[in-house]
Amino acid sequence: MRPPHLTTRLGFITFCGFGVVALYGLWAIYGAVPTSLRAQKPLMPGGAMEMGVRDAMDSHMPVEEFQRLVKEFVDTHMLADGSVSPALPERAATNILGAYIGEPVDVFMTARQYNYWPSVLRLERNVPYRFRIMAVDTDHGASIQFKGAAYMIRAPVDHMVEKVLLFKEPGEYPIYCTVYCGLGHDLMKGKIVVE
Amino acid sequence: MREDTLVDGLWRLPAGDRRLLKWVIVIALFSLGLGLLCGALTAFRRAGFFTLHPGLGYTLLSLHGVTIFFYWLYFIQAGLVLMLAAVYTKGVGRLVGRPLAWLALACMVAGFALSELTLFMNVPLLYDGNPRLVVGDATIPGLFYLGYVITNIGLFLVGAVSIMTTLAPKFAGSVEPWSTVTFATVAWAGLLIVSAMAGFNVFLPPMLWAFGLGPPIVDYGMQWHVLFHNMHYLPLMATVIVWYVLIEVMTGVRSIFGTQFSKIVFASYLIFVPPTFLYHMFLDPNLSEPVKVIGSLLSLFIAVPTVLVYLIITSSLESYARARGGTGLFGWMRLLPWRNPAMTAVALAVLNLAIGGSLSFVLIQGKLAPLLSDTFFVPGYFHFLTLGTVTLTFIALLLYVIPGITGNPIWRPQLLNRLPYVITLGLLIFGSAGVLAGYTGVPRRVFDVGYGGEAPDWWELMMVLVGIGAAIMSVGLATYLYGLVRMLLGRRYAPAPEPSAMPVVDLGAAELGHHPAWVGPLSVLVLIVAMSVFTIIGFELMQSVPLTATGGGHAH
Repeated sequence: MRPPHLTTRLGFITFCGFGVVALYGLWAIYGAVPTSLRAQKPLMPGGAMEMGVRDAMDSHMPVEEFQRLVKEFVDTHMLADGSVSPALPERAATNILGAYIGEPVDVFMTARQYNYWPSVLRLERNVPYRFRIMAVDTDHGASIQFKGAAYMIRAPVDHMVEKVLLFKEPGEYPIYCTVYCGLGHDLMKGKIVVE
Repeated sequence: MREDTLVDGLWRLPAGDRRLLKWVIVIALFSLGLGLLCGALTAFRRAGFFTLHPGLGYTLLSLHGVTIFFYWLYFIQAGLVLMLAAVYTKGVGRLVGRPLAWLALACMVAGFALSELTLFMNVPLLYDGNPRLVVGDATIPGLFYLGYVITNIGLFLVGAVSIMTTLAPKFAGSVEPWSTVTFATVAWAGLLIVSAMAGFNVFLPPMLWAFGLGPPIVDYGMQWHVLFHNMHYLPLMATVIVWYVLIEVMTGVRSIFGTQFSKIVFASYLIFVPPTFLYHMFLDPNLSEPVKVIGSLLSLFIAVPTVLVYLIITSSLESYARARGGTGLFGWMRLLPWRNPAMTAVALAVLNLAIGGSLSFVLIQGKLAPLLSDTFFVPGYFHFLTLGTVTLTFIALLLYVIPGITGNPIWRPQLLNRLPYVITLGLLIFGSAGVLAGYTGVPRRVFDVGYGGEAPDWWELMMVLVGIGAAIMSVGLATYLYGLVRMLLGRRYAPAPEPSAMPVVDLGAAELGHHPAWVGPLSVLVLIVAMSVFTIIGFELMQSVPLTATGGGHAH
């Protein structure tokens, strides 16, 4: 009696069935998963290393309170053309090349049917901005467009999402809503101008 | 002469069972036709072939999603799981509890009507029915949720009748061992019941809230994604069961790895599917970073049962074909019955699953979610699965089931044999353009992708290609529908022997397993390479973004 061929053995096809798990190796090469039991710093957009999840600013902030903060932010930093440009601290820390190395600068933004407020932000490149975004009526999204790829944030209603973003190149980056939010969803957009 | 469990079993069913199955299939095909029409109009509108009021556009999109994702897939699964339980359970030969099955069908039809009609009467909520989109009087949305709840009652009953049918011989004292197909049918019916329970869990609270009988909904997203994930893999599991059935019908080939192994693989869906729902929520700020990493790791195993069933089928086929004289790495495939339209449909369904599956694996990596999650990448890849794999496979089985229960002949088999190629061609255009659009950031669920001239020009070009692909797919699917309805509504009702228009081969051989069977393992290797390429594109694009993003905290 001839033995079965290797390719028709149960163990072989079971092994092949688990073959897709090999994708883990690729993820590890890109630093997207832990490769040892020690803590790793996975790769993030732009090749930067993630610094870890920040604590939320306030775990019980009501919508009205957040909107008050946004209004204060807009009133303080609004320019003549209606855009908003958060100022860096007066005594901003810089390195020997003059690059900003201080704490992230606060940015507050609401997402609501069918716009962002403020709708146009003017930011400086290579400065970290701590975005605090809250959807105030229904769920929204914010996809920052880089002409060739995008970076998306989901903003569920009544949750304040906090992200530290650092733009590395100047340009105009549109923001489009990516979570269906009603009949005007198509119209919901904003803009980040990096100078 | 090999046994023809399916063809013979269908005609031996009592007339009442055949009548029930016929009506389930009539309604399933109606929902497929309606979903197809709304889907095609949605794609054409997106491509800019005509303009529509945005409200009507979102109503069409909602109708497409609700009709296909819920009702076509639920109705057709109901019909096929009931049929397999009655036909493949040894010693039963009929449905046990047919009145309950009629009640199930009535519930599902009532739910279907409610869900569809209410979409015209309110701001469309899309198929997921997010209650946060409800504005003003919530009575109409309440009826929408009621439609889903009633449907899930019907789905629960379908699962119960199927399991009762498979258990009947055991209760009657004639203990018959379950075949692999019966075992898989029980697993399928069990998952339908789980899906129905998850459906109650999701839709009952917003229904009560909408009617003023319950509190506002706080965490809809998590509950929805548990159901949503289940609804993804239920039809996929059904698809591989149908492949298993059809390959035996068309070639006489059974697993060379034994019944026990096949049963273990089908049962493994219950282990691998439920814990992997997290990958749908990678952009949810409620999910901490460690949970996302765990979600990614668990999701790696999601394809294991499907790949294993594919390997069982392919390696068994190759082994049988080589024992019958088949030669060459792929030359043995010439022995397969390629003039049988069901064979062509299954073969292209496998190809489409490989394409869609390899693309879907980009989305199980949490780090790539901010790049792709809510983009057109998603509809770009999943149509390979919903239409190219699941629907094509179910249609292949209907090419046997409809003649089997009506006695009517196959409609134009040569034409039917070409339709899987037409649909796959359309999918390749639709999917390539959609995936490319997604990689470059085109949001899904937006009709004006030009954003008033602000967006890159190629976005609109991609959407035109999506529209062209959708048109080709629609022609193929509409022709199938016409043929199936002709076969279904004819009035011959004569006993249906194996139809000569559906040629089969008998690859039964005495000595198996001594020849190599490389095509299965090699195609898994190709699949891994394709997954890797699509993933690398994602990582490289992600790193090209001139942005550093850190953190992800949130607060209520």
